[in-house]
Amino acid sequence: MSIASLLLPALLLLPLCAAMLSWFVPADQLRRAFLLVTATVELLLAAACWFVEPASLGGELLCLDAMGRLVLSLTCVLFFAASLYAVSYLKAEDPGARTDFHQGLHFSNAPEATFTGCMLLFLAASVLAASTRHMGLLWVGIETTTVVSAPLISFHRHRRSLEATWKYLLICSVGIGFALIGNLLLDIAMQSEARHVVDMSVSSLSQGSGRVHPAWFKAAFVFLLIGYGAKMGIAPMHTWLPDAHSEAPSLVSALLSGALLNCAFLGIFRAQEVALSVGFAEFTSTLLLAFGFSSMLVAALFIVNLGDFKRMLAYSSVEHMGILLIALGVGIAAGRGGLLHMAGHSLVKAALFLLAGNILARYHTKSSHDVSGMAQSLPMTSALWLTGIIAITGTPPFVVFISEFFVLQGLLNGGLLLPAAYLTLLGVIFVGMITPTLHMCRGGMPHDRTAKGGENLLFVLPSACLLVSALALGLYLPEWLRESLDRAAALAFHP
Amino acid sequence: MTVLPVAGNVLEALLGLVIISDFCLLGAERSRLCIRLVALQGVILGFMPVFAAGDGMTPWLAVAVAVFFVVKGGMLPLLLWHTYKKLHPRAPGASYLGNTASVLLGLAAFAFSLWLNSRLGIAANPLFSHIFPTAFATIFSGLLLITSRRMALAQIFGYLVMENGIYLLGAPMAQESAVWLEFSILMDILVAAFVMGIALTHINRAFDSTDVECFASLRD
Repeated sequence: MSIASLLLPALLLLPLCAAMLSWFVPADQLRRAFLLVTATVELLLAAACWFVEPASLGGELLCLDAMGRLVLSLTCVLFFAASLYAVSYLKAEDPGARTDFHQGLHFSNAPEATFTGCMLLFLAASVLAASTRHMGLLWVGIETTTVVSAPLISFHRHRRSLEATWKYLLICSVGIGFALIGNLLLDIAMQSEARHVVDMSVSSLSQGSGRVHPAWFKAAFVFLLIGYGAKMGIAPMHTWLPDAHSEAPSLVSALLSGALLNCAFLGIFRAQEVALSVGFAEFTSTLLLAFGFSSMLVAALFIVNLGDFKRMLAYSSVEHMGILLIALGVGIAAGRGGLLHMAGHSLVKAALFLLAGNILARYHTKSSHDVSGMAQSLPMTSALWLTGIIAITGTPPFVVFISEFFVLQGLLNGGLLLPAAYLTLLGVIFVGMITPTLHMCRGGMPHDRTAKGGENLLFVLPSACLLVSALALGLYLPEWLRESLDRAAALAFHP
Repeated sequence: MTVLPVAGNVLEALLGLVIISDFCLLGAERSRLCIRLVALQGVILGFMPVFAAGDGMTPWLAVAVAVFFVVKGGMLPLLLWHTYKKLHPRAPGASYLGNTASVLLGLAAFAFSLWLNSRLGIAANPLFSHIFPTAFATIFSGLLLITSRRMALAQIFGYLVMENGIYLLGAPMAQESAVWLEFSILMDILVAAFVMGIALTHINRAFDSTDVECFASLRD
């Protein structure tokens, strides 16, 4: 057996087996080490996929194309960063009953074994979604991410986290149900008198040109877009996202925003790949642009004067998911930029959520009005937080600026109205995010929150590495990565 | 694929039962009745691969029938029952719309799906046109239960009813080569219901209620 044929099974089985084993590891410290080792090996395996082309298994059931490899790599990088953070985070968590600083009610955490196990299952499900080109198995992977990430959101079992978990479970499960209907309609659209059995692999579906029933196909795409769009946090199906991202532990928010949303985007990307091949790109592009701009608009409306820095990051995710859809709708002119945007958003947003955890731990509030003087109390976190906000709002020289510029370039091909709207919304969001950030970093500390204590390096190191990566990608895009982005973009971005 | 006349009559009768159970669910206020109705739907849906297979029944499809029967008709209702026993208060509560209006909306959805079925250029598989109206109305009933009930347990009922409708919609496409996929989807739904049940137990403990009206602390 060659390394190529072992890569994909190893990538899938490692976190799956580790998750099962983690429930039987008796000591918390040992389990944390186990989590970190698994994350490291998984990251190395994902890196190996850039050097050795993994062999496909079962046709396209397990098949890593350029897009899948990008999503897989991002997931593994973020999971490694989150695991590094988790080691110190879980150590600092009090396992007994304590008081919720927001509502003053008592609560206790879920068992740490459940948390670690679900994190590893989440990794396995995300890897499955990234490494398949079969629409049915992709659905299974994405639905599994929903189910296993719900216990992560309600790790702190207080009222708000349970409320957020319930909304997340219900809205995403119904949304994913819609995506399943979309898959069934896709099957129907591809059927003919001579062909009742349809292979749901993307390549097979893409060869259905000329035999496709237009009404069924359009209905299928709408259901897939709404279904996976709900999971991706696209407006108006985004309502779960600010709640779940703000109430989950920060490292979970980082994974949700940086990895989970990409998996959901992959569902829409695959649907668009089929639509492009069978000649429906014009219809789908209009829908993608409409949903993309609606998400940016909703984010812009809510982000200004929001007053909660975790929800601000969550609405920023809604905005960036909108930009991804806009890029997909614009087509190949924004292709490389769109996928670069996915990478940039994942890196920066995950870093910001991890930093938000540090702020929350020191100030015991999520209100950006009540946080000030971070430059003195949390100097490293403060510097990285400001850098991260500058990066995520599309300021040069970070990668998000480059990718947003690519998308703007693509939009300019179709007149001036859409680029103007795009720039206006970006401007509003920039002001909406930068104003509270400056207030948080500058000024003096509130008197009741002057508790001293150094910053744990493990709490800032993952974010620093992620932000440096985002800066490096903005300054220099290696040839091999450029080539890979172009290959991935050619799959679903229409000419 | 053709549906044999006798099998066709049985199929119509079973689909009739599914639609009646939808209306009963929409009008029901007691959780016990709802769980029994969900179980009934599960048992009926367990037989669907038999009709999809027609005269081409294979051992694998027979296994699929057995698994669907056990999971949809047995395990999922048991899971609901287990959750229900832990909750106080237990009633799923009346609909915001009122029970009569809910049932009338269900009827309207069924009428609409019959009309839609006649309007759509139905796909190559004739079994699909038999099943489509019931499946569509069942999905709608599930969504109505989710959105119109105050108690979170009723929302789980709604989710399962919606999934039953989706399963019904996909039944004509059941094929031996995709049994693994159907099992995976079924397992996902089972685990989702399990996780929802656990979440609901914690919610009940934290809020002393499962009334979704209590979920009002997360707002912008």
